[in-house]
Amino acid sequence: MSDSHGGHQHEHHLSPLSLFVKIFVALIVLTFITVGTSMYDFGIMNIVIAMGIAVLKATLVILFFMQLKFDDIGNKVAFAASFVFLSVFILLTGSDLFFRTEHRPVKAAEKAAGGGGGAPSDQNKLRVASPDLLAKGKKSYDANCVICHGPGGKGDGPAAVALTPKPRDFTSGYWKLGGSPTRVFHTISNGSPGTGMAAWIQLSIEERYALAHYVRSISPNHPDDTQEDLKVAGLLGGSAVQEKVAQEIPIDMAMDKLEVPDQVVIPAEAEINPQSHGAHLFKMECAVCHGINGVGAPVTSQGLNPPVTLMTKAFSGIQAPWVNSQGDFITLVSQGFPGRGMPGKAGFSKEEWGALHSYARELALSK
Amino acid sequence: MTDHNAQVHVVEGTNHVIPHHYENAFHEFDASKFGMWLFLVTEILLFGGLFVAYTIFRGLYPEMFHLAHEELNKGLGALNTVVLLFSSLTMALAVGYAQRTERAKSFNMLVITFLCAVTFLVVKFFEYRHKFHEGLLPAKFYTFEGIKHDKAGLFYSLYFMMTGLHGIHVLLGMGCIGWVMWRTKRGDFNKNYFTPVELTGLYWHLVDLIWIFLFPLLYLIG
Repeated sequence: MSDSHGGHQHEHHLSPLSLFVKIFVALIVLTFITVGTSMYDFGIMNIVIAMGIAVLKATLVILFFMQLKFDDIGNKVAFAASFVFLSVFILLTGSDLFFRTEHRPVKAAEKAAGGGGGAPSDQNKLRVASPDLLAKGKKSYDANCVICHGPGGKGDGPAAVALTPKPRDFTSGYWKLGGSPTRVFHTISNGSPGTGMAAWIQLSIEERYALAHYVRSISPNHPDDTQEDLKVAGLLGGSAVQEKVAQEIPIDMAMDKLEVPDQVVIPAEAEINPQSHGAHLFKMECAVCHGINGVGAPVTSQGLNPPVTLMTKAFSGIQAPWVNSQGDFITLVSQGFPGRGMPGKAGFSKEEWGALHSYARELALSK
Repeated sequence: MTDHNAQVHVVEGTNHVIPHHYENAFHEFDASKFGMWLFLVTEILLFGGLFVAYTIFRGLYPEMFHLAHEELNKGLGALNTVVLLFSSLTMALAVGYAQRTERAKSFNMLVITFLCAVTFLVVKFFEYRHKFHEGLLPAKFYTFEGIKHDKAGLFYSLYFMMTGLHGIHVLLGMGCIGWVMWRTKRGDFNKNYFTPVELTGLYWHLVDLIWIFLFPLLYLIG
């Protein structure tokens, strides 16, 4: 038997001990640099610097303290491989998480429906109500929806007795999955999981939009599409949005919208003015659920069976982003809190939004 | 059934018997060390899972990480970093002296390394105690009110998981160092046989290595 074993070194590598001291000094200096730079804000560079220094320190420890520099090639490959796999682990998970495209069921439904009418520009036209669409919607509603939702849209069709939860009563103004055109279109296209509401993808896209406009016209609450809705529906961006579609709405709806009370702009101040325009709007639109002056009130949900009674929260002392941001406030109120009983309210003019927001703000700031 | 290998090989100057499946002391040393490196690979991947979790949650809630990390004590974190780096130096020196058959010096270096590990854990104890006192605790146990973010408990879940697992490694490392100290005192090692000191050293440097990443990720740029 040979006393030499192929490939095995027969001398242990001896590093001079002073090398370890030098490496230690370098590590300490790097530690002070990384702590020092963390005191300043370099934006994204903070993480680059900190991680760069950490990698440098780790390299010094591995090569010299652990003596991997003088080790077998096999050990080098094995240890390096762990970092290769670790970076695969981190990078692939990160790329999935941070670059995942949004799941869009509406688009999937379009594909399933086949045929034309799927282009965003067509949908942008369809999502605006017109008398023609409303008429088509009524026809389709009578043929397809009456059996459950009832002729008047009150959720009292012949089949409703057999359904739990009950079909939506459109006259309640409550939308579980949102009441804007693209959202109702989405619900018709995809159904409502956990309920008897089926996905109506066999209907053409135009017919589904027609239905959406029709049931919205029954509802006392018909919020418009927000930017967020459009983004989710894939209708935002590209030339589709630039070509602004002229709004066509039924005349009586237009009359309602034109009926604007005296326009008074109220400056934002933390003192409640019960005579303000905002207070008036609040009384008309919000007080039925939120109580006079937003003190909170019991609300019985009409859209649920059995009915559920909830207390709305008092405004006083609320700390939320909407208090100081009119944009947030508009988004919140126009979308509502789907699933928490707050219906979306839209259709206010710019001045009305301003007045309503400053009044709600006064309530929130009040003690 | 021949017994051509009946002869027992003892490493020169020690009472260490080379197991019969190794050809000689170098063969044994290299195989043992390779095994240790493979174990360290699994350690990297063990902590890797936590680093991935950190990456994901940081990506989802960057502003929360920023708010939550400000409650950590940078000074104590930096102190512990220096303590661990110094212990890595003394560990490397302990191995160096063992390789040169300077047993007394090797033993002293091991003692200093051990005391650094104790210091690290004592500092960690005070940090943890402060966190417990303030309610800076994982997930549903989180009761601190100074951070205006409802996901702040998530940061402390990661903080305790990562530093806790690292702390367990420090404890295990202390066990290994204690064992090697005892064997050094007994005179088990010389320039021909010092494998346990070498492998304990590798393990201890890994503990330092993990902390080199935990410190900036948690304390500096959370």
